[in-house]
Amino acid sequence: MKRNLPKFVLWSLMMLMASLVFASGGSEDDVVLRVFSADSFSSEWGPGPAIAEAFFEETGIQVEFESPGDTVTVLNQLILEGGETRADVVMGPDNGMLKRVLEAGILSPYASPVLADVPQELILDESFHLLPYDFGQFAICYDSESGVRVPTSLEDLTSPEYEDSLILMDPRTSSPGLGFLLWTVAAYGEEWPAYWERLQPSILTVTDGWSQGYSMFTTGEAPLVLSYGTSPAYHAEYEESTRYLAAEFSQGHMTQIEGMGILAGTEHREEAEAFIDFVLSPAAQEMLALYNIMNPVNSTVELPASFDVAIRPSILEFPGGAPSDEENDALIQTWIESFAP
Amino acid sequence: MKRLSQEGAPALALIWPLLLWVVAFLAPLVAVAFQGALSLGTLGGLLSSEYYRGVVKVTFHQALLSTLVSVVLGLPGAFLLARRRFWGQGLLKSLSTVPFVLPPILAVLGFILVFGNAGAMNDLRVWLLGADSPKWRFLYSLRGIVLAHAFYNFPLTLRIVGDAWESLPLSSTRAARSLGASPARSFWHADVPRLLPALGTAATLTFLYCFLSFAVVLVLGGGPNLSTLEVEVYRLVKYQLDFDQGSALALVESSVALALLGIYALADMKLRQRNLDHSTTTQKREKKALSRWESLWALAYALPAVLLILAPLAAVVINSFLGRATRSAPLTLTLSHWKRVFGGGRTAGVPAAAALRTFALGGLTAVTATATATLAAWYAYRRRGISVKLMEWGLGMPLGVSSVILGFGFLILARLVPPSPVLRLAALLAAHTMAALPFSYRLIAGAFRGISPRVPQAARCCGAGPWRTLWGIELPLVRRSMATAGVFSLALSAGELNATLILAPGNFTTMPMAIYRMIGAYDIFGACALGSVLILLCTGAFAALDRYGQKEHP
Amino acid sequence: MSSKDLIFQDIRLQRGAFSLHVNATFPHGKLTVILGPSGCGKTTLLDLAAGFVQPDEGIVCSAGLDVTHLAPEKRRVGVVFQDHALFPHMSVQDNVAFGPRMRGLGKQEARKRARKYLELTRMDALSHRRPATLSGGERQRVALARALAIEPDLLLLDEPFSALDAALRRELRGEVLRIQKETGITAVLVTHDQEEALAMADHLALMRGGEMVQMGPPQELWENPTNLFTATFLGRASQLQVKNIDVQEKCFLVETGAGILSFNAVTQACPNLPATVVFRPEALTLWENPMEDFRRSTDNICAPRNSSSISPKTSTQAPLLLQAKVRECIYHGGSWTIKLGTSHAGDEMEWDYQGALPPQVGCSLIFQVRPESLHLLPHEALV
Repeated sequence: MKRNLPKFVLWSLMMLMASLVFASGGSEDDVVLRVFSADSFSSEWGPGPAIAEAFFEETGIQVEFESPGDTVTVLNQLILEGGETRADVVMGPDNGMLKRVLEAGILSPYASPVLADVPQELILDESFHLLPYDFGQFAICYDSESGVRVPTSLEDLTSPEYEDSLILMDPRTSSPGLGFLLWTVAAYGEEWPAYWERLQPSILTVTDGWSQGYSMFTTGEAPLVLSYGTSPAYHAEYEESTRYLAAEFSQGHMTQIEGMGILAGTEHREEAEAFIDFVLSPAAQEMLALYNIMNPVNSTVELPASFDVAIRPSILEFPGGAPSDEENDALIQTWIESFAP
Repeated sequence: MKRLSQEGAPALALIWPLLLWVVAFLAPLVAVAFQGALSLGTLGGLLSSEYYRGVVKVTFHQALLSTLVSVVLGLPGAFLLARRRFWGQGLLKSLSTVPFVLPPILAVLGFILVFGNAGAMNDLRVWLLGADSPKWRFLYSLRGIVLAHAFYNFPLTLRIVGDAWESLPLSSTRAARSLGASPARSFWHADVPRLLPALGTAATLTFLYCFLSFAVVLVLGGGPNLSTLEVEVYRLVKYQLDFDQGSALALVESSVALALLGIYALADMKLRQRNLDHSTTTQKREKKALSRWESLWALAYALPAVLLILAPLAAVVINSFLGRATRSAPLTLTLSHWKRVFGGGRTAGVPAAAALRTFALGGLTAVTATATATLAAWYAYRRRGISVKLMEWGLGMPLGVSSVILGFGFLILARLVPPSPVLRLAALLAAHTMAALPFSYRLIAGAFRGISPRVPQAARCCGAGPWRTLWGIELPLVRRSMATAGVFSLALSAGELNATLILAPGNFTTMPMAIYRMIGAYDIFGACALGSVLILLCTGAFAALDRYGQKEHP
Repeated sequence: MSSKDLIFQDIRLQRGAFSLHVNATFPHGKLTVILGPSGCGKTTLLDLAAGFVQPDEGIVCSAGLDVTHLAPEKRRVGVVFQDHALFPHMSVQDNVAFGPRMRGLGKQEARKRARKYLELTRMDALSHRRPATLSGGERQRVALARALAIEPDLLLLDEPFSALDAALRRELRGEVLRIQKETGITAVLVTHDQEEALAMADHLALMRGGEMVQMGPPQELWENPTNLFTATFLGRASQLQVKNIDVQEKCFLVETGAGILSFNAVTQACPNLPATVVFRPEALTLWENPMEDFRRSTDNICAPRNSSSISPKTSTQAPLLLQAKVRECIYHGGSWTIKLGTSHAGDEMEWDYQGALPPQVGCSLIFQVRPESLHLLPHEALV
């Protein structure tokens, strides 16, 4: 028995580990609405769980999130799955992905009555396949304690005083990165590669994703970072700090409108519509503001006080609407090639 | 020739590793191939593009340089850990392995906290030389990439070469010394040839990791002019669903990696054959205490090395305890981040559950990976010839295939897996096991090679069948390597993110996932706190391993 | 031939460049020694007997059973390896008890059995030690106890003493012989040490290049080698290359560099050339009156001086004379080995000389040699 004790402990430890891993799966309920979203949305740190809970309390419909990764991954999976998908609703594709979503034909339109409360400029899809739920403007955030002068325009960023001060994201791997590239294209037209040449000395580094870049910024590595105009609201709300602020640029800001839609093949159309209506309702919109740190699209919502520090810049439209994938690709290719030292 | 070569048991043993390989590696690749119909048509166009040629060049350049630096930096450390005794050796060894398993986002963060333009090193500069002195720029250039890759991969050399060094038999050096060779010559002629296979393994693995590196190159290289093939594959496959070009580029990437693995396998075989000897002495060399002169150079080496390895880890931990009470108040020690992470609030219990889950998943991965690797290594030990070479090559392949491609394969397969969470978790376990397998296999196969084939034969004569011999005789003889493999697998699983995101069911959050999400939700210091737990977990696992190893070989 | 003998029947094995082809019977209850140079296939033969290697063709029989395709654990074979191959993670006692346990004995009985064989090999005092803490000789004793503990039909010993020093080697040889006689087990020992082979073997099997060269009691192989290899590999042998053979009515005259030798055509078949005359150093005696008698002897080789007729019997009794030059004298403490050569370059002779002063290097000596101690062997037998 003495010899067998370690063996026994080992086996029970394994059983315990197995049960820990596999028990978390839980059982499959029949009446659930399956929502595909980016993991940042559905996780405990995102707005997903709170919205699902409130929705359940109001309607008795259970929502289950599925998140294979970021929004691009989610969209890829839905496109790959086509009609076979188990998803009922998708959340996350933004105005930049609109063309791809529509081309894939995976969504069915729904003109929610709550859209009446949404300003016309935020209705990203006139055919109502993809409905907006929140939006944010890309903005350069600055560390007010670093002593950096607040930049006032894209052109201002090229000033020599900002040498090695700006953290950007790669448009190949991140949506803010692509947003910023489009911003410069919208602002400078054909002249945009020349702008990037002027901007280069100011760039400290280009990160693969927003998380990496913003974390570098908050640890003080650089005083300027590409982020959202709403980012300061987070620090105000949760840290009671106004150290990090967003700079408002004269030429207006490129806007990201995040959208949701009902999958064409859903068997829970009614519940899906209820969910969409709920997300657009003031209760959920407020949660989105607080937990997603984005602007709600419903204009009747009263913004939390912390949003006072967020900027509300004018919207800069991309000429001719959001570019297609091919156009994006061409822009990115030009961008990288002009980036060579 | 002196083997039970016609026996069926080893072939049976191979079924499970093969099955796993097919399910967790081949299937996703085939899925991608079907999706994109692996077209070679675009290959010519890609290679003639000046831009892609540049990317290939940069990828090679940084990988070679990083490998060189990692190995050169690692060798003295391997010597010190293997041949000398000093205070804190065990802890140092345990800690040095942690960077290898840290999620990149945290590793890069820790690195920037120390070596960044506003990092600890530059604080030191301000303190020493004044605020007006020019900034020390460690990062945002090729130098930054190489430094970070050294940080990441230096433990490979330290561990792999160190372990080989530690197990060098006493006899060879004694023989050389008795023939009148000086210590230096005896080292060169008796030890170096025996260390070469280990060095080759460490260098090959390091090169592959650097070759397929992604975030580190992008962030610390300072921008897209220093980007790798992997970034391009990511862009093409993930953002543009451009399988034609993406898979063609991935093919270039994988061919290089797999060719390298092939060359490595051949060279390794040659080296090992040359070193084959039938000496029966297994007496190991004593570890010596550091002499005064050695202490000096050890210190000169260890200080920067420790700074490179430990400072970024320490920075993550320290930052989890720092905070400012109000705007522009001085930095103070605080537990507020830890309270926020592990205390109440909206995410109450999630990080703690994630930590537990990570540990459990890691433990299961350790068990399956070790078992799988052991079966495969047993096959290689018992059989000879082409089937073994093929198997070893196959097991090395996951190291050479882009994780973006593999991840995409998982994504395609994920929809084929029924929504059952149990199935999804089993798939996740298989993916983690596959990622840990190349390492585990190498470790355990090396140990098997150290057993005289006569020992299992003796057991057979005693009446033990092949399986009983494996269980009762061979396994106990390789258990130290199995433990090492287990801990490596646990640590690799604990740090894995990509496959986990795709395959894990909705409510299954692991630590790296939580870390990413917290950073994504602006809570960088909370992520540091959780990262500290991950660092602690891995250090603890490695420390337990080293203690076990010491007990086995007093 | 007892049916319990160890029989290798037409065994063929091909592994790369190496090929083995053996027909052999090793007698039951006896200690057979397989002797041969490195790479001759003697260890492979042992592996075949143990079941570690399966032959491409042929049958292996042990204790009356066809065991050719039986796995090692199904045979009743105990093996002692050159590197002892003890289980390093087990105590001495557990090592020895492992076999009995595997063969179905209970824990207590297995321990009892282990103690019995540890006593037999005089290792009972160290039964709780780990192999790593034992000396080479002690390890080999444990290995022997482990092999015997399964009470096998067949005991195989693969160069068991080669890693030991000379004194220990002698001691263990005695032990193995004692134990083999006590237990009456059929044993096969592989060695490349001919002294060991001669000292231990009941039955000696000489191997070369994957084939059996000659088998039989050691004396037979020593005294009547049927081929050049046996003659030269076992002990020291002097060799004289045959230049020419002159076949006569009842004898044939063999011309060598040391003189012409006559062989009886009745007892000795006339070989084809090339051939060699082989004999032991002890076959030589110094011829007291060199010049005169030597001349006479060579002049009249078929009719030595005191013999009127050449009857087969007398001719074999009649001494022959050889002349050789001293090349080198090696002192052995009390005696000398004198190396001799002839005008023929390939010839090598040795002669043991008892005396204070050795002959001078370069001088010619004439020896008398008994015809029956000469072996005229053709070279074909080598292959």
